[in-house]
Amino acid sequence: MAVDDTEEMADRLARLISTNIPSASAIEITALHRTTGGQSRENWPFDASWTDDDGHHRAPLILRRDPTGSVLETERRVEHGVLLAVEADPEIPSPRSRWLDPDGLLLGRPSVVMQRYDGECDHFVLDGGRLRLPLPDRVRLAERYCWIMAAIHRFDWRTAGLDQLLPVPVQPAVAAIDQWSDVLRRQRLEPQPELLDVELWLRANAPEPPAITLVHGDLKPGNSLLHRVGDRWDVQVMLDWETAHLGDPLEDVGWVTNPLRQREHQIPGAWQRDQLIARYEELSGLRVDPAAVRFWSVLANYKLITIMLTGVRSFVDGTSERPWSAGRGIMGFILRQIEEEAS
Amino acid sequence: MRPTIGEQLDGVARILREVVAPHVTDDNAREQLAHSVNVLLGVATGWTTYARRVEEDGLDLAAVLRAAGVAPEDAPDDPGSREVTALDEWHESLRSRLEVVLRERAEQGLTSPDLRAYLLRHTTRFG
Repeated sequence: MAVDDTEEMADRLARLISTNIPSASAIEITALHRTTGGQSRENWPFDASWTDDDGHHRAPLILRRDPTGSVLETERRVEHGVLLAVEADPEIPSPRSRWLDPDGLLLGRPSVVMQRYDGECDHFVLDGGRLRLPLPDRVRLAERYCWIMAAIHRFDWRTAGLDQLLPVPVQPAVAAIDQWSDVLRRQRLEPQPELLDVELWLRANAPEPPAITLVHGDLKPGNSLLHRVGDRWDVQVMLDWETAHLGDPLEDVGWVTNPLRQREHQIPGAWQRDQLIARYEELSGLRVDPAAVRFWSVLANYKLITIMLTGVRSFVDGTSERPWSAGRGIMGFILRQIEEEAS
Repeated sequence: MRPTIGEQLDGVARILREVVAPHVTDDNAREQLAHSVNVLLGVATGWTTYARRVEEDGLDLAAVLRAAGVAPEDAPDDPGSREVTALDEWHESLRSRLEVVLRERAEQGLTSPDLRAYLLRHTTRFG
């Protein structure tokens, strides 16, 4: 059932709350609107108030709902479950996930409702971005992101029972290639020999993991909110846990050291790839194999293009609201990444 | 013939940007309108060379396949069939053949610097 009308959506959100809190009454949904961004999910911020057995409540919330044509195939059930698990770890600044509608019975499509935070989102904060922080503050933030990444990888997923929710891969690299090449085969509209060449390279260079850990899958300043703590900016919360999974921690390291995304994650002369890796090794206690990081960095770009081609299909099928390009410039970039390895 | 395809696309993009966009108040709709205008402007500048680039890329790939011992289909040579659709189909069939060759070589444990060199040229042509 399609639910796109704001008023209708507010009614359904009220029903979601009453379903999850049977004693709730006087439920009010206000300031509901759909925001821009969020290419893989629709984001609908709103405020909710209700009265239940514990008293009166008012909460800033956000609905994340599957779009009709998503570029990313993930499950809201998994996202909700992972967030509930990491919420208990004070070292990981994660959003509080409140309610789940896994099959979209109430909200039209699979959805999750989370706490909404008031921090600033600045994709290029380390490079200057909108906040224009002085260099020492940017370096401190960069270290903080590294620290959070290591904390996610140190998270005790066995005790938290995440193996009941997520598959535990024996060979995460092979599992990731299988997963993304399968998505590509289903989503592509035409032959993609460039990506086949990349896939073959990935298969020939798949590393063994140093450990199996929780992996965020999309760590970047643009997926965090920042707030002031005293006279400093700090990470308030890391967002977008929809690609979280169990796997090789170097996947996240390859993601944040991806040369294509250098501007997001590195600070020229102050916080570069080697410094990031050295600090990560200290914090995580893991040794970082440069060949494995290169593998995961190539895989990150392979994923990125697959997501873009999924967007192209959705656009052509008429299920996406946004036009996508086929990312041939990025294909050239990956082929040159592989060429560097060969030379 | 005037207006050319480029002029028409440019004109539509201008109307959307200057006449329609100022009245769009919804943030998401405004963002998607901006993306759509950018696509129109990209097509407006790229359409004139598209057929030439597809043909050039196809001829390049056909030569690479021949050198690799594969007999590819010839390019459509009837001027009437040199529509973009026919060129696209021919080009796509060549790229399918290339995928087969890539897989066969990988199964034999062979590297393919000749094929990768073409792939890089392709991404430069269309990147």
